[in-house]
Amino acid sequence: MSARHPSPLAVTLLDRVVVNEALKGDLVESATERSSAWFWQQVFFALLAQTISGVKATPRVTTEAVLVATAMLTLIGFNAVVVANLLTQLLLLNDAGWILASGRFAGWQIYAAAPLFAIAVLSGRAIGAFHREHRVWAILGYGLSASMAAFVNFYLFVPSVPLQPFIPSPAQQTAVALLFAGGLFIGISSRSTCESLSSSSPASHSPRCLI
Amino acid sequence: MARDYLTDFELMILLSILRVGDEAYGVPIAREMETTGGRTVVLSAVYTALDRLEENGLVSSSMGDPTPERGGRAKRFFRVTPAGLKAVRQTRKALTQLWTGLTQLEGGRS
Repeated sequence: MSARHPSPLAVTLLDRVVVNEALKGDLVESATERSSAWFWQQVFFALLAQTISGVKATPRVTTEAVLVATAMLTLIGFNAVVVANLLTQLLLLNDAGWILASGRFAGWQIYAAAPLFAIAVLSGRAIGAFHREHRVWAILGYGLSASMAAFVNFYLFVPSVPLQPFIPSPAQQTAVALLFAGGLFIGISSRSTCESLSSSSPASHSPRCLI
Repeated sequence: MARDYLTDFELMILLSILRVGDEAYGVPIAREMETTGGRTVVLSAVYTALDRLEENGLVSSSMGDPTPERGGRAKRFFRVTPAGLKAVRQTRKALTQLWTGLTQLEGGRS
C-alpha cells in the first residue's frame, strides 16, 4: 500500500493544525516512499505532540478553553432540551396570534435541519472570530444562537397543534443537538485558532496553537 | 531548566546529526536513526527532542529554501554545537565507565 500521493484529508489536517512547517515538509517528502498507514500514524502523533506542546506552553489558555468548551456543551443541552420544552409549554399555554401563525412551513419539516445548520455555522464563525479575546461574549453569543435556532425551527416548522411536542423523541433531540454542535464546530474551525496566538508570540519553530 | 545529561533518544539524535553531516534535516536524521539505530522513529518526537536540544544550546538550526517535493515547505537544517559535542563525549564517557567491569555482559549474547 503506497502513499505516493498522501491522503488529502491527512494533509489538510496537517495544514490546519500543525504549525511546524519543517515537520510538515518532512512528512510530505517521506510520504513518497512510505505506506499510507505510516503517514497517518505520523500525522496522528504530530497532532498529539502539537496539542501537548500547546497545553504546556499556555496552561492558562488551555484551562480557559476547557471551561468555555464545557459551558458551550452545557448550552447544547440547553438548546436541545430546555428551550425546546419551554417553547412547547408556551405553545400549550398561550393562544397568541403569532403562535397560531407558526408552523407555516410544517410540511417542510424535514428541511428544518438546513436553517438550523446554517445558523450554527454562522454563529460558530462569529464565535471563532472573537472568542479568544471575549470569552464571556462568546458564551452568551452561543446561548443566543442556540435559542434563535430553536425559535426559528419552532416558528417555521412546528405546527401549532395542542400537545404537539417540539422535538418528539430523545433520538431526534440528540440528532438536533449533534447537528447544531457540528455546525458550530465547522464554523469555529473555519477561522484559524492559531492567528491570535501567533500574533501575540514571537516567531518560533515551536508549535503554538491548540487544536 | 536545562539538564546536564542526555537521554538515549537525544544521544541517538545528536549522533545521527553528526553522521548525516551538512544535510541533516528531519528526513535523513530519522532515516539514520532507523537504519543505523534500528528503531522506529516518530518524526514529531524527533522535532520535540530537537526543540529541547536547541533550547539547551546543544544544537542549532537554520531554515533552507522551500522545495516542490515538500509541497513548497522549507527544510530545517540542524548542526551540533560545541556544547552538544561536549555533552555527547560526556555521555559516552559515563556509559563507558558504567560498562567497564561488568562480567555479566562479557561474552554472552544477552
